[in-house]
Amino acid sequence: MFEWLLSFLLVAGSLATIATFAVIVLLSFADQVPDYLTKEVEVQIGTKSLPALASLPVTEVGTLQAQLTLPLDRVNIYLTHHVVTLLGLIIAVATAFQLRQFVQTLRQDHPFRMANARRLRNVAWLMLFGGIWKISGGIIQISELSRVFPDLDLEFSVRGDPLPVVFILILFVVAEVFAMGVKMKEEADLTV
Amino acid sequence: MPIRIHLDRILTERGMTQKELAERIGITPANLNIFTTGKARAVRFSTLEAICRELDCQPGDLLKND
Repeated sequence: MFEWLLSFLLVAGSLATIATFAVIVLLSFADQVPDYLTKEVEVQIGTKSLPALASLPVTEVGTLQAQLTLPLDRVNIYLTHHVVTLLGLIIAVATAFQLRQFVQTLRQDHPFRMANARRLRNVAWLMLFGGIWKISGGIIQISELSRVFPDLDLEFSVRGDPLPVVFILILFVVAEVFAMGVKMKEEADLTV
Repeated sequence: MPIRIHLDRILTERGMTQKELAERIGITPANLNIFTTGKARAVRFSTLEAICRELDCQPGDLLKND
């Protein structure tokens, strides 16, 4: 069942990756973004954008949320968004592929092989790169948006949720414990 | 590996096959083959004792340090 789910995610992710790549190629040669690719983004706007508040002695009011429709003549911003998405999709597809390979060995004789230990390490690294890319991609997109909307004080914040970091650390530890288990099994198999 | 296993020679002298010896001492032929071919990382004393009992030999007859 789990293998079927991973296979489905792999196929869906691969199709999304191909579609995103096709859009990038299309946009690379376009002067204007086609209507069907219109995108809206939700952004946080700082209080400096509100002229009325700017003259008042307030230190912090809070941030506003706004939904902006990206102008169709700004191809670069669409390209940036799709390139960021493409790399995220590649990381997701690679992760699903490694996990599916791992799960497939569960149906065979035994899963305790060095290849599986390497796959767990790969998944941990992919999760780490994915987390870093999520932040980097956000920074890149905000800086691009700031050029398109120079009058807006756009803000990018990293929400302080430690769970993803803890999860990645756990993955690294599990991968090393699994590798140790594989070595111990090899020793046991070669003990007469 | 500097330690050589001379099990095949002793089996020939006793007129026994590896399969027969494996059955007598309660391990699989594949496991015994790991020992015979020198691929084993470790040997249990219980296994060595069983082999010596069945072949009526000493551990030193089986294992030689080259």
